[in-house]
Amino acid sequence: MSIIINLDVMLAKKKVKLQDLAEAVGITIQNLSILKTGKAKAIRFSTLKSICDFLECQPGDILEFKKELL
Amino acid sequence: MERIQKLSIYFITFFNFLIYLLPISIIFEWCILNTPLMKSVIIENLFQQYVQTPLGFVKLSSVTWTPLTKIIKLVGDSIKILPFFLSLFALKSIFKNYLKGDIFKFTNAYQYRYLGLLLFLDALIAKPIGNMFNVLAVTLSNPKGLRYISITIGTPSFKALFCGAIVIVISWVILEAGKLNEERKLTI
Repeated sequence: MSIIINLDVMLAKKKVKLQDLAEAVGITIQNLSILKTGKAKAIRFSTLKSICDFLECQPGDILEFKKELL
Repeated sequence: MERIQKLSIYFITFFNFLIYLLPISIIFEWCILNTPLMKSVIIENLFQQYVQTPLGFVKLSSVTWTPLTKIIKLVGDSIKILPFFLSLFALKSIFKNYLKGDIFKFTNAYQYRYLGLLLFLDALIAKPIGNMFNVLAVTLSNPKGLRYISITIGTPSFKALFCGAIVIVISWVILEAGKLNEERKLTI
Protein backbone atom coordinates (compact mmCIF):
# COMPACT_ATOMS: atom_id res chain seq x y z
CA MET A 1 0.00 0.00 0.00
CA SER A 2 1.36 3.47 -0.85
CA ILE A 3 -0.14 5.22 2.19
CA ILE A 4 1.72 4.16 5.33
CA ILE A 5 0.22 4.56 8.79
CA ASN A 6 2.77 5.57 11.39
CA LEU A 7 0.40 5.47 14.31
CA ASP A 8 2.50 2.91 16.23
CA VAL A 9 5.58 5.14 15.82
CA MET A 10 3.69 8.17 17.14
CA LEU A 11 2.29 6.14 20.04
CA ALA A 12 5.81 5.04 20.98
CA LYS A 13 7.20 8.58 20.63
CA LYS A 14 4.47 10.05 22.83
CA LYS A 15 4.57 7.01 25.17
CA VAL A 16 0.83 6.51 24.87
CA LYS A 17 -0.95 3.16 25.07
CA LEU A 18 -3.40 2.13 22.34
CA GLN A 19 -6.06 1.68 25.04
CA ASP A 20 -5.66 5.30 26.23
CA LEU A 21 -5.87 6.63 22.67
CA ALA A 22 -8.98 4.54 22.01
CA GLU A 23 -10.67 5.92 25.10
CA ALA A 24 -9.68 9.52 24.28
CA VAL A 25 -10.73 9.35 20.64
CA GLY A 26 -13.89 7.36 21.35
CA ILE A 27 -13.34 4.42 19.00
CA THR A 28 -12.78 0.77 19.79
CA ILE A 29 -9.33 -0.83 20.12
CA GLN A 30 -10.30 -3.22 17.31
CA ASN A 31 -10.87 -0.30 14.94
CA LEU A 32 -7.64 1.38 16.06
CA SER A 33 -5.80 -1.89 15.42
CA ILE A 34 -7.28 -2.01 11.90
CA LEU A 35 -5.92 1.52 11.39
CA LYS A 36 -2.54 0.74 12.96
CA THR A 37 -1.98 -2.41 10.89
CA GLY A 38 -2.85 -0.60 7.64
CA LYS A 39 -5.95 -2.69 6.94
CA ALA A 40 -8.23 0.38 6.98
CA LYS A 41 -9.59 1.57 3.63
CA ALA A 42 -10.39 5.13 4.77
CA ILE A 43 -10.12 7.43 7.77
CA ARG A 44 -12.70 10.04 8.73
CA PHE A 45 -11.50 13.65 9.19
CA SER A 46 -13.15 13.63 12.64
CA THR A 47 -11.13 10.55 13.69
CA LEU A 48 -7.91 12.03 12.31
CA LYS A 49 -8.61 15.33 14.12
CA SER A 50 -9.22 13.54 17.43
CA ILE A 51 -6.04 11.46 17.09
CA CYS A 52 -3.93 14.53 16.20
CA ASP A 53 -5.55 16.45 19.05
CA PHE A 54 -4.70 13.77 21.61
CA LEU A 55 -1.19 13.01 20.32
CA GLU A 56 -0.45 16.71 19.65
CA CYS A 57 0.83 16.02 16.16
CA GLN A 58 0.08 16.77 12.50
CA PRO A 59 -1.81 14.43 10.11
CA GLY A 60 1.47 14.07 8.22
CA ASP A 61 3.06 12.52 11.30
CA ILE A 62 0.51 9.69 11.16
CA LEU A 63 0.05 9.30 7.41
CA GLU A 64 2.92 8.97 4.99
CA PHE A 65 2.92 8.55 1.21
CA LYS A 66 5.47 6.23 -0.40
CA LYS A 67 5.68 5.72 -4.13
CA GLU A 68 5.19 2.08 -5.09
CA LEU A 69 8.07 0.56 -7.06
CA LEU A 70 6.89 -1.48 -10.03
CA MET B 1 -33.44 -8.75 16.59
CA GLU B 2 -34.28 -7.28 13.19
CA ARG B 3 -37.44 -8.32 11.31
CA ILE B 4 -35.42 -10.09 8.61
CA GLN B 5 -33.65 -12.16 11.29
CA LYS B 6 -36.97 -13.15 12.88
CA LEU B 7 -38.46 -14.13 9.51
CA SER B 8 -35.31 -16.06 8.56
CA ILE B 9 -36.04 -18.65 11.26
CA TYR B 10 -39.42 -19.40 9.64
CA PHE B 11 -37.94 -19.48 6.15
CA ILE B 12 -35.15 -21.88 7.19
CA THR B 13 -37.74 -24.18 8.82
CA PHE B 14 -39.88 -24.05 5.66
CA PHE B 15 -36.89 -24.85 3.40
CA ASN B 16 -35.86 -27.73 5.70
CA PHE B 17 -39.41 -29.07 5.47
CA LEU B 18 -39.33 -28.89 1.65
CA ILE B 19 -35.88 -30.52 1.50
CA TYR B 20 -37.37 -33.61 3.18
CA LEU B 21 -40.80 -33.41 1.52
CA LEU B 22 -39.67 -33.30 -2.13
CA PRO B 23 -37.78 -36.63 -2.30
CA ILE B 24 -40.48 -38.29 -0.18
CA SER B 25 -43.23 -37.08 -2.53
CA ILE B 26 -41.38 -38.36 -5.61
CA ILE B 27 -40.75 -41.75 -4.04
CA PHE B 28 -44.34 -41.89 -2.78
CA GLU B 29 -45.72 -41.17 -6.27
CA TRP B 30 -43.36 -43.76 -7.71
CA CYS B 31 -44.57 -46.36 -5.20
CA ILE B 32 -48.27 -45.84 -5.97
CA LEU B 33 -47.96 -45.50 -9.78
CA ASN B 34 -49.68 -48.79 -10.64
CA THR B 35 -52.00 -49.01 -7.68
CA PRO B 36 -55.72 -48.07 -7.48
CA LEU B 37 -54.66 -45.28 -5.08
CA MET B 38 -53.39 -43.34 -8.12
CA LYS B 39 -57.00 -42.90 -9.28
CA SER B 40 -58.20 -41.42 -5.98
CA VAL B 41 -59.31 -37.78 -5.93
CA ILE B 42 -56.72 -36.68 -3.30
CA ILE B 43 -53.80 -38.16 -5.23
CA GLU B 44 -55.15 -36.72 -8.50
CA ASN B 45 -55.05 -33.27 -6.96
CA LEU B 46 -51.65 -33.75 -5.31
CA PHE B 47 -49.61 -34.90 -8.28
CA GLN B 48 -49.41 -33.99 -11.93
CA GLN B 49 -51.65 -36.61 -13.51
CA TYR B 50 -51.02 -35.96 -17.18
CA VAL B 51 -47.96 -36.11 -19.41
CA GLN B 52 -48.01 -34.26 -22.72
CA THR B 53 -46.84 -36.53 -25.52
CA PRO B 54 -46.87 -36.02 -29.30
CA LEU B 55 -50.04 -38.19 -29.24
CA GLY B 56 -51.75 -35.85 -26.77
CA PHE B 57 -52.18 -35.87 -23.01
CA VAL B 58 -51.71 -39.25 -21.35
CA LYS B 59 -53.23 -39.87 -17.93
CA LEU B 60 -50.69 -41.52 -15.59
CA SER B 61 -53.30 -43.78 -14.02
CA SER B 62 -54.19 -45.23 -17.45
CA VAL B 63 -50.59 -46.23 -18.29
CA THR B 64 -49.51 -49.84 -17.90
CA TRP B 65 -46.40 -49.54 -15.75
CA THR B 66 -43.53 -51.98 -15.98
CA PRO B 67 -40.46 -51.88 -13.70
CA LEU B 68 -38.46 -50.30 -16.54
CA THR B 69 -41.01 -47.52 -17.27
CA LYS B 70 -41.34 -46.85 -13.55
CA ILE B 71 -37.58 -46.37 -13.27
CA ILE B 72 -37.57 -44.08 -16.33
CA LYS B 73 -40.40 -42.03 -14.74
CA LEU B 74 -38.43 -41.81 -11.47
CA VAL B 75 -35.32 -40.63 -13.34
CA GLY B 76 -37.39 -38.04 -15.25
CA ASP B 77 -39.05 -36.71 -12.11
CA SER B 78 -35.72 -36.60 -10.23
CA ILE B 79 -34.07 -34.62 -13.06
CA LYS B 80 -37.01 -32.20 -13.18
CA ILE B 81 -36.92 -31.55 -9.44
CA LEU B 82 -33.10 -31.39 -9.06
CA PRO B 83 -32.57 -27.62 -9.73
CA PHE B 84 -35.40 -26.71 -7.34
CA PHE B 85 -34.00 -29.12 -4.75
CA LEU B 86 -30.52 -27.58 -5.03
CA SER B 87 -31.96 -24.06 -4.90
CA LEU B 88 -33.49 -24.90 -1.50
CA PHE B 89 -29.98 -25.45 -0.09
CA ALA B 90 -28.81 -22.13 -1.56
CA LEU B 91 -31.83 -20.31 -0.09
CA LYS B 92 -31.23 -21.99 3.28
CA SER B 93 -27.63 -20.80 3.25
CA ILE B 94 -28.72 -17.21 2.35
CA PHE B 95 -31.28 -17.10 5.17
CA LYS B 96 -28.76 -18.56 7.63
CA ASN B 97 -26.56 -15.55 6.86
CA TYR B 98 -29.58 -13.23 7.27
CA LEU B 99 -30.22 -14.86 10.65
CA LYS B 100 -26.67 -13.95 11.71
CA GLY B 101 -27.27 -10.38 10.53
CA ASP B 102 -24.95 -10.67 7.52
CA ILE B 103 -27.21 -9.18 4.86
CA PHE B 104 -24.73 -7.86 2.30
CA LYS B 105 -22.19 -10.66 2.43
CA PHE B 106 -20.20 -11.77 -0.60
CA THR B 107 -21.34 -15.38 -0.11
CA ASN B 108 -24.97 -14.20 -0.39
CA ALA B 109 -24.19 -12.63 -3.76
CA TYR B 110 -22.56 -15.86 -4.95
CA GLN B 111 -25.53 -17.89 -3.70
CA TYR B 112 -27.94 -15.59 -5.60
CA ARG B 113 -25.85 -16.03 -8.75
CA TYR B 114 -25.98 -19.80 -8.18
CA LEU B 115 -29.80 -19.53 -7.88
CA GLY B 116 -29.96 -17.66 -11.19
CA LEU B 117 -27.82 -20.31 -12.87
CA LEU B 118 -30.06 -23.02 -11.40
CA LEU B 119 -33.07 -21.33 -12.99
CA PHE B 120 -31.24 -21.38 -16.33
CA LEU B 121 -30.36 -25.04 -15.77
CA ASP B 122 -33.98 -25.78 -14.93
CA ALA B 123 -35.33 -24.08 -18.05
CA LEU B 124 -32.71 -25.25 -20.54
CA ILE B 125 -31.74 -28.73 -19.36
CA ALA B 126 -33.66 -30.18 -16.42
CA LYS B 127 -37.28 -29.58 -17.53
CA PRO B 128 -36.81 -30.63 -21.19
CA ILE B 129 -34.78 -33.74 -20.27
CA GLY B 130 -37.13 -34.62 -17.40
CA ASN B 131 -40.13 -34.31 -19.73
CA MET B 132 -38.31 -36.38 -22.34
CA PHE B 133 -37.93 -39.21 -19.81
CA ASN B 134 -41.58 -38.89 -18.75
CA VAL B 135 -42.80 -39.04 -22.36
CA LEU B 136 -40.62 -42.09 -22.93
CA ALA B 137 -41.95 -43.70 -19.73
CA VAL B 138 -45.62 -43.31 -20.68
CA THR B 139 -45.18 -44.31 -24.34
CA LEU B 140 -42.71 -47.17 -23.93
CA SER B 141 -45.48 -49.72 -23.42
CA ASN B 142 -47.14 -48.60 -26.70
CA PRO B 143 -46.82 -50.72 -29.86
CA LYS B 144 -43.78 -50.13 -32.08
CA GLY B 145 -43.96 -46.82 -33.95
CA LEU B 146 -45.89 -45.12 -31.15
CA ARG B 147 -43.01 -44.82 -28.68
CA TYR B 148 -41.62 -41.32 -28.40
CA ILE B 149 -38.66 -39.30 -27.19
CA SER B 150 -39.21 -35.56 -27.55
CA ILE B 151 -37.47 -32.45 -26.23
CA THR B 152 -39.37 -29.16 -26.20
CA ILE B 153 -38.56 -25.71 -24.83
CA GLY B 154 -41.84 -23.84 -24.37
CA THR B 155 -43.08 -20.55 -22.92
CA PRO B 156 -42.60 -21.64 -19.26
CA SER B 157 -38.89 -22.10 -20.04
CA PHE B 158 -38.65 -18.49 -21.21
CA LYS B 159 -40.29 -17.34 -17.97
CA ALA B 160 -37.67 -19.28 -15.99
CA LEU B 161 -34.89 -17.84 -18.17
CA PHE B 162 -36.21 -14.32 -17.53
CA CYS B 163 -36.39 -14.96 -13.76
CA GLY B 164 -32.86 -16.42 -13.85
CA ALA B 165 -31.54 -13.31 -15.61
CA ILE B 166 -33.21 -11.05 -13.01
CA VAL B 167 -31.77 -13.09 -10.11
CA ILE B 168 -28.27 -12.87 -11.64
CA VAL B 169 -28.64 -9.07 -11.96
CA ILE B 170 -29.75 -8.96 -8.29
CA SER B 171 -26.63 -10.96 -7.37
CA TRP B 172 -24.47 -8.27 -9.04
CA VAL B 173 -26.25 -5.58 -7.03
CA ILE B 174 -25.68 -7.52 -3.80
CA LEU B 175 -22.02 -8.01 -4.71
CA GLU B 176 -21.62 -4.23 -5.14
CA ALA B 177 -23.52 -3.65 -1.88
CA GLY B 178 -21.14 -6.11 -0.20
CA LYS B 179 -18.15 -4.11 -1.45
CA LEU B 180 -19.68 -0.87 -0.08
CA ASN B 181 -20.46 -2.59 3.21
CA GLU B 182 -16.87 -3.81 3.56
CA GLU B 183 -15.55 -0.34 2.75
CA ARG B 184 -17.87 1.15 5.38
CA LYS B 185 -16.66 -1.41 7.93
CA LEU B 186 -13.01 -0.54 7.18
CA THR B 187 -13.55 3.22 7.46
CA ILE B 188 -12.24 4.30 10.84
